[in-house]
Amino acid sequence: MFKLFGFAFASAALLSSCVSDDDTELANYTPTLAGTDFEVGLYDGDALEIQGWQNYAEAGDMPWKSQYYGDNNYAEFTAYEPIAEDRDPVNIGWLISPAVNMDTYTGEVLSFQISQSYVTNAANTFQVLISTDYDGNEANITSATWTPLPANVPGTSATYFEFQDSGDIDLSGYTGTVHIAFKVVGSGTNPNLDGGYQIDNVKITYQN
Amino acid sequence: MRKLVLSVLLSLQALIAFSQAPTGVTGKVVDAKSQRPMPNVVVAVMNTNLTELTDQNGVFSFKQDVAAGEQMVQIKSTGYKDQIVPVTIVQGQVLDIGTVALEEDISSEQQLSLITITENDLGDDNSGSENTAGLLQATRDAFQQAAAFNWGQARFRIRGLDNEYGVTMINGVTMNKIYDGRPQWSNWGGLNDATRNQEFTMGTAASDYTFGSILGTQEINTRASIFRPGTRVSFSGTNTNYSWRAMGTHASGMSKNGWAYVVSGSRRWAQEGYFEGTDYDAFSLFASVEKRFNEHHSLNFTSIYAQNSRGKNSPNTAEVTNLAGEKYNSYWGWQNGEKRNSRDKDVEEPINMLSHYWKFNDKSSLQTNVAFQTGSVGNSRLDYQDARNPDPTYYRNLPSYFTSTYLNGVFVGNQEPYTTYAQNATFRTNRQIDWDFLYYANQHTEDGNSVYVLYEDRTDDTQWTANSIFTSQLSENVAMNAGASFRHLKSHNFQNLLDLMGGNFYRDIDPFGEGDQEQSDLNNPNRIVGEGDTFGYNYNLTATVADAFTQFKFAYKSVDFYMAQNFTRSEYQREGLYRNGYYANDSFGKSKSIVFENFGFKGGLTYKITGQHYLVFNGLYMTKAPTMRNVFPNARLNNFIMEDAVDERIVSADGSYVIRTPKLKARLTGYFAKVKDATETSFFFAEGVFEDTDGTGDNTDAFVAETVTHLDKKYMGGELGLEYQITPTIKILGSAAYGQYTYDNNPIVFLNQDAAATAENPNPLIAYGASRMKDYKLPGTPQQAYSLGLEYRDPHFWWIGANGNYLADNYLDVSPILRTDNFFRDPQTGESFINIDQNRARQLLKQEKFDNFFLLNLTGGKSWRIDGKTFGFFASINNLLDESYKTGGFEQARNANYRELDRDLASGTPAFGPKYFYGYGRTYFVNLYIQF
Repeated sequence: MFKLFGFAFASAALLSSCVSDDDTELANYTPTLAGTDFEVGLYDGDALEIQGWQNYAEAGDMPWKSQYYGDNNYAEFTAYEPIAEDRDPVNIGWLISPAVNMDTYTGEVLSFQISQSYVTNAANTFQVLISTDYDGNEANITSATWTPLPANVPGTSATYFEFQDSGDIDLSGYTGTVHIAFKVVGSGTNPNLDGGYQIDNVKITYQN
Repeated sequence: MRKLVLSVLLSLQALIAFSQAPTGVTGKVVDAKSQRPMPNVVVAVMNTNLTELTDQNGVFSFKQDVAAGEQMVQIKSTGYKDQIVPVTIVQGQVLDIGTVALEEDISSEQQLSLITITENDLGDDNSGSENTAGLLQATRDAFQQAAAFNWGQARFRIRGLDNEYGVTMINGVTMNKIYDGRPQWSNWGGLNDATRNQEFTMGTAASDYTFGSILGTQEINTRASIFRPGTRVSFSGTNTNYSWRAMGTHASGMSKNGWAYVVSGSRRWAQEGYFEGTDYDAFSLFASVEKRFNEHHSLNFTSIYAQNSRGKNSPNTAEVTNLAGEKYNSYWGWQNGEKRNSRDKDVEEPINMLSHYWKFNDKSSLQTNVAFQTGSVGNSRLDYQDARNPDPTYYRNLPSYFTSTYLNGVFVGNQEPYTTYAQNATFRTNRQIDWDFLYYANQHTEDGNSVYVLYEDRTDDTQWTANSIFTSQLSENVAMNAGASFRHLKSHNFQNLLDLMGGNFYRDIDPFGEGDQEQSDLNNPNRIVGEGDTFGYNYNLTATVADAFTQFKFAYKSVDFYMAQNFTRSEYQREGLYRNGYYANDSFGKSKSIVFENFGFKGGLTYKITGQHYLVFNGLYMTKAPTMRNVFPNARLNNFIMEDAVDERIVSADGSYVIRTPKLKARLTGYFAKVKDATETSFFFAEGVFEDTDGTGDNTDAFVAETVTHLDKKYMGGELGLEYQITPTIKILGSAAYGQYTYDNNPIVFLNQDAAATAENPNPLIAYGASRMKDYKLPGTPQQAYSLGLEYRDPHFWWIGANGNYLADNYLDVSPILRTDNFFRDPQTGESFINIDQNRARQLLKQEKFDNFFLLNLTGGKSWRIDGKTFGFFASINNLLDESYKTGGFEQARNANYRELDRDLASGTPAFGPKYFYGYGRTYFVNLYIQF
């Protein structure tokens, strides 16, 4: 009789476990709420153009640029300009993320990698900022409220071009829509202030 | 055999009970064509235990125990169509149904064209044997016939199962290879006449010879006395894997002094088969001699020698097929005006078997066999050292290599100079192996060494098998089968240098290795080898397998049932004959010996609703040892034992509704099977699998072994087969298969990369963790198939048939390694890629479903009787509409990640697209024969 049972079981299995072509699952990965690894198809030295991101020079003509080294693309801002007459006395460069909705998930954490090159003076600054009132309109960048976030930024004695982790920056307290900005201040004409900062693998992760 | 016992038993009972008034049926069986009486034809009163063989005059008679009323008498004989005669038995009378003429079974002609399918390998190993069509040669079930003859060309597998789950036997001796569990069809290829006495049991149904497995059992009987006496000579032409075949067979029949013999021989050849550059040369001989000493003892000796040499054809990417066509084969090249194939498969493994038939009495008998098989299988290919890859389809020779270029992460494949490079890609002008260049290169090396050689991967097996099968009718209702077998295999595996191709010697080193790693044998370093020398790897595998089974069958008026159990013990060991440079401490000498003990239970029952309607159920649970191929995944180099290769656990159940009436025969079956903890090892030469360290791409290729363990597979579906005799001359046949064969869990993946071995990491078996294989479809077969056919048999011995077939749901073989967590890991950060697009990821990993297709086949034949001789011909045209279709294919198992695959595909011309096998277009098979 167990064969009858087997048959019944087989029939039940047939009815209940049909598999469609889209039933497969993906392997595990850490999903990100926002971010970029700067592998966006730009040549070494191109001004950064990433869908949804803003590359804004508040002072001077220098943009954030795409850099390529060791089979890796990353972003760099430096006030240094090889052609002397093109140098600006003040350079302020913003790289601003697309709007990030902080209400979808909880436990959001920002992290990125950062290194510096030829930064010899503390006034040659790098900041990571967050704004809850920036509306995405370039004209309003400077008028929006930007709050610095605590990040592990390489100091003047750090090894040039050696990426270090920013550390996990807790964003879980923020709600609504925010923008993240990376802001570098330097001077093309002042050799003490023409160092550069490189960032890579910017991401906001979350707890599901 | 059992039927003989039974019939004698029954006639005996008839004698004892002769005083009663006889109630029964009698008749005479003749050959429809010659009108000669046919002895030894099986006649049965259906749904009873009454079975008889016709006597020398073709006469049968049941004079006892036949119940009065409507009955069906079934008459069958190998090579002839079954006849079912409805009779009305009257109490106290013996009904004479007169002369019954048996017509030759046309499917036995179709068998001839079938073997061409089973010898086409997909891939480098013995994968042609996965095809189940060969198993079904002798079947009479309408569904199974459709599966073999109509769908076999499309690589349809019954129930989605590969032959590893079937058992193929010759005289009860298992012919499945211990190494991979599959039969090597070439071992008796071309001997269709001599191997036509076959019994097939479907699924887990009871076989008298073995416990079996879940696909079915095929028993080929070569006992000389059962062959119908006569001579048959045939000649065939086809355009499949060979062009011509000549075959001759003579069977003596049993002589007065107890001797019977059968001899057969055939030759098949082609300068070029269906695919370009596929030459074919096969020569087969068969002899079987029986001496009947007395009523109790007979000895039979069978010798089968089948030699087969053929050029293989390559699987190709869509790009290559677009440029060069479906028949394109990258394995050959011109040399001295001839097409020379670099990938030959040579099989020569003669079988000798001594069988003793011992009939204790009318109820019990014992058959004992001793079989010895020795010989070699060689698969040739080109090897090269510090030289350009000779494969014309090497990825750097193809336009896609250029048009999929990313420079510093920027897509430039659609720009200059890459578009020009693509226009000038080597493959556009050099599509075949350039033998002249290879010889030239070898003749112009500084030291006179060859940098290109032709070698073969050789397997020289020697196997002894001894087995006994006991059969007994314990009582009127109970029969028993029991068997035990012992197999011992010694398998010598090595690389054999075939051709230095103009150079003076070859260095037995692995140029990918560093320092000691270069050495294939540290005990004998820096060897210089010549033609006929062993190099590269060299090892023995030994296996000892013992098994025993018992089976009890019970037959009652309305119910038949059986149960069986078996036990198998397998012991494997590897012995390295080289001390390999990568694995100095784990390659030379004997590995530890590993033992698997397995058991199985099965049972089934047939419920006879009426004499014409039955319900049949079967169920099985068994464990199965992993094959040696999986236990020693890197056997070529080391003694490593894959501890994760464990016993498979198999459960199977099926239920059928069967109708057998004189006009309508039908079967509807539902089945379910699950295989748990399977292990699959695939070896492949992976291109671009490693980081391109020096920018030349020369060192990115490697021979790797991928092992997938703890893999669960689920098979379920339904089968329908029916045949209906519309008029005495016209028959309609319909079959349908609807299955769903899926991976049922997420197995564990390991990749072995010898080239990744370092002093710190001497065993580069890399665990990639779980692969998300669950719910991907099992590849290798259409999961749906439908057939509708008509046959017309003219009374004047000619017939024609046509069938249309629709095949659907055949899937690409997906790569497990692409579906591990590693796929999403950015090698630069070691963490997940940022901003993975789930939809894109799904798109990249979606399993390709091949196009569905329709095959129209025609068959026909005629025979004449002239001066006591039969002349005949059989012809078939398969795929009359010349439909193009894929029979299989696989994702190139490159160690690619999300970004690489995204870019490769986004370029529109992927450099590492899947490779496909194509089915034959329109083919024909014509056979002419004389029988006397």
